[in-house]
Amino acid sequence: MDSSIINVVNLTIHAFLVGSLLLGLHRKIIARIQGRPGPPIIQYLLHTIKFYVKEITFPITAGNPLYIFVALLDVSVWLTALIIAIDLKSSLLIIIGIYVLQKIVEHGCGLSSGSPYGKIGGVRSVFSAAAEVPLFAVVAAIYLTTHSVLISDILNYQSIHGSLLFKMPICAFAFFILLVSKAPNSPFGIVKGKDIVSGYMTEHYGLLASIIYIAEAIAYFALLWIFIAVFIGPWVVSHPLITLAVMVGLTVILAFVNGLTPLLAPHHSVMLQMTIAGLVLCDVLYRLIMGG
Amino acid sequence: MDEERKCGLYLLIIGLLCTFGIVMFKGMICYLLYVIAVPCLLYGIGSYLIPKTRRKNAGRLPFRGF
Repeated sequence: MDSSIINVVNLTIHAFLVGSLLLGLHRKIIARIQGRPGPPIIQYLLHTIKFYVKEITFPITAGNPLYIFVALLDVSVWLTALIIAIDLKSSLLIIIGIYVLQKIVEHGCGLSSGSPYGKIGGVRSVFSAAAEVPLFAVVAAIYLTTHSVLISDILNYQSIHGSLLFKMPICAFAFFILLVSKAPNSPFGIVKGKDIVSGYMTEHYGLLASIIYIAEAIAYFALLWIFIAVFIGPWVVSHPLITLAVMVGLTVILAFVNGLTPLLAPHHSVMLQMTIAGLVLCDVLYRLIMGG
Repeated sequence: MDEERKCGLYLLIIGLLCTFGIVMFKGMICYLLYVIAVPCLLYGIGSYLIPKTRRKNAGRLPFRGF
């Protein structure tokens, strides 16, 4: 067996455990903000394990095999992101492609179940693709500054020229908004808003919910790692404990943002994200005119 | 065999074949096989751990006009 695969297996387990605990911490902080004791930090992990051994049935309105396939694709998508970003330190453009695939998962998940709530969640996931526009603009700005979209090159650039967070604060803000929109109870979380029960996940319960939870824990870890690597720099990602500390810090900030803001209406969410994309595009134009 | 376990069996076979491929091959194809194997094994193993449904009309969920 290739030794790199053993590293990837370790990385997957690490990402799942850390991602689960961070999501548990996120939930705990939101509960404290709302004046509730909240569940223990390991609750997300317990939920994942509990649902893994709970029964499922295929709703007679479900479109199989898409109904199962989307949940499995969710795990595949974020495992790919984990390998591309953290293990291979490859291109940011592939990460964007993977993020687009995630939208297909949300759309397919909602529509395959045949549930009206799932369908609305699936349709809203198409609106929320607006979150990717700032991401494209961010990659363009990073390319103009570092002359590469490879994460390894961006890390090398930062080790020589310092953190990109201070050089491109608008881009960092736009990427941070992406983290906000991916975190639970987000103001941009129109796909899983409580007005449509659990959105696209309404009919994916039991084992399938557990598989989606595993994917979301890996996704949360991967996105936090990419933010830290691209904007804060190699001195953080080279030490696992410092990376963990920064991830905890980011989770606290995200929990405060999500705990103190209401869920936006779908059109407001899209308008706000497009406005942020506009800001980043202005930044890109400025960098083009000034020559990087 | 109910439909959930039938799907689980197919995915378990795919997952085990991919695991065999990971052991046999080297290079980038291992990553591809790993990404396929993990979700297939997760569902395949899980489908044999879950209890059989006790619903009288399996698949007929509420709020669908039933």
